Amino acid sequence: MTRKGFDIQFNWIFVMIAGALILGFFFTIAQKQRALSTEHLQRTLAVEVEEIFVDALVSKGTSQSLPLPEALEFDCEKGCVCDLKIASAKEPFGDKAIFAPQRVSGQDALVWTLDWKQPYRVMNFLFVTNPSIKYYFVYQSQQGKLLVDQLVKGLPPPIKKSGKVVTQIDFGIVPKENLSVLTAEAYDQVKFVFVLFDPNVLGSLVPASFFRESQVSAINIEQDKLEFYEGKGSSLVMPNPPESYAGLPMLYAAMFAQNNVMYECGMRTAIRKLSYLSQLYLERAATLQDAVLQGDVPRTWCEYGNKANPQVSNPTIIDLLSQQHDLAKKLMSQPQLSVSELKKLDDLQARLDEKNRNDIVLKSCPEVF
Amino acid sequence: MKKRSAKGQIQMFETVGVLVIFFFLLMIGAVFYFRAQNTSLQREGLQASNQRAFQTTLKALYLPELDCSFLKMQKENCIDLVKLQKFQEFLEENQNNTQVMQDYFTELGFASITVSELYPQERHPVLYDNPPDEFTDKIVKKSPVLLYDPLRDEYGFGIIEVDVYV
Repeated sequence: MTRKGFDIQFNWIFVMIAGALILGFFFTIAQKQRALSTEHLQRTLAVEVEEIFVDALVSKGTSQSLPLPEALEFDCEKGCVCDLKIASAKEPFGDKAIFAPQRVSGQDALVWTLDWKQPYRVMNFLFVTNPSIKYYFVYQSQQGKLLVDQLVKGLPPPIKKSGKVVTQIDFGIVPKENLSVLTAEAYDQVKFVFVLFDPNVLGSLVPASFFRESQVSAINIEQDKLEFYEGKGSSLVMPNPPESYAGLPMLYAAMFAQNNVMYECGMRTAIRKLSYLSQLYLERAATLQDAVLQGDVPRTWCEYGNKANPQVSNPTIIDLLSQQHDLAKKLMSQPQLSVSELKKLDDLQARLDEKNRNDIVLKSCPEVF
Repeated sequence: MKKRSAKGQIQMFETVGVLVIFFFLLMIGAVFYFRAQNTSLQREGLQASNQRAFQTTLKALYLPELDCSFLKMQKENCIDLVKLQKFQEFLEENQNNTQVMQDYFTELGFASITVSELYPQERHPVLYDNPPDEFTDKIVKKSPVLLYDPLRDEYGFGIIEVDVYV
């Protein structure tokens, strides 16, 4: 090899090393910048989403719009590991009872809060949806229509800004006989809320055009159970056994939850909270009773009960709270929420409310709740 | 021949020199840039921690475990003193109950919550105390609250202090 040839080769090697160094340098900078942006995004989203949910949780019975720069993805796995995903950021929400579809994107989301009372406030249920999801309430009997009316009456009105609807819960009411002629519209997701239907006929009730246009799912509200359906091909299938419910808030939870796993996780969170709160109210009532006995409360006629001596025939407020606490704990230990126990919980709630009003408030005694 | 080689070597040193200076300047620029980025990120982190502290205060004020709710009506910014005492005892009793601690940790995080009664008595009960093993800073948020004593049917005045560890 001549010296000139060697010089040329050396120049090439030099250029390649220098080029690689420059490339490597910029590559490192780009990587660092990416890591920084991800951290920034995660922090911003975590704070902003938490802020919206905290605002929603402290304000009861309200609905608010949530602008969506990115799609929101909600997911609950068996074992109740629940996450909210925005872009690459992930936030767990296992401590909150959030009921939402798997994906909310496009128009502003609607965040609706409904407090779950037993009869005191236990926690707020948070429902998330947006106008890209359509809900159809389908009924076939007068009894079913009454329940549909009750459900629809409780829904929040559309959210308007400067007279324009920003977001809303988009729904329609359909009697069974009109279902076959219902036209599928261009929605991302469609959820059918069947009220008091025979599960054997549900599979093929929805017109095939809906399955082509949108992602279809459904729930069937029966007398004392809830069935969750998923669209498969052009029919509905029920992949999991039915769930239980008691009261309207639980029906809304089922309506907005993406599947039975999310529904059950939210319910378990709420019932766990109920087990803590019932104990607190029980202790509070016992303190009030002690104060009455010791003369600290001048109203000697006030009767809250005695933890150690439960009354069977005419249970006191302490007895009812104790029953509620035991029931909540029992429900927590069950692998699946039982219908009978949930009904008992609902019944106890009504009895506690009545007891508080008639035996405590009307007698001008310090209220328990 | 020798002359040409010396000239070539000088050219080579010049090129290497230029590259060294180029990288040096690039490095200085990058260091400044990343420092600025880090500072802005730290500022954002501080803002986020402030926000979190505010949210924790809000959550504490609206906890059904503490609020003053009668006949389904809730009094704003009010803490029931009997509930406060019972909740404190409940948390103490359940120190070893992982589920209970986990539930309140996910709600309140690494924080300390103190409800100080200023009038008619002066007491400073610590409600929730969960500092991390290591922390760099502590953000303190204070908010005035009404304290309801159901035994005397009287309202007092106090401050809820939330210390969030970052």
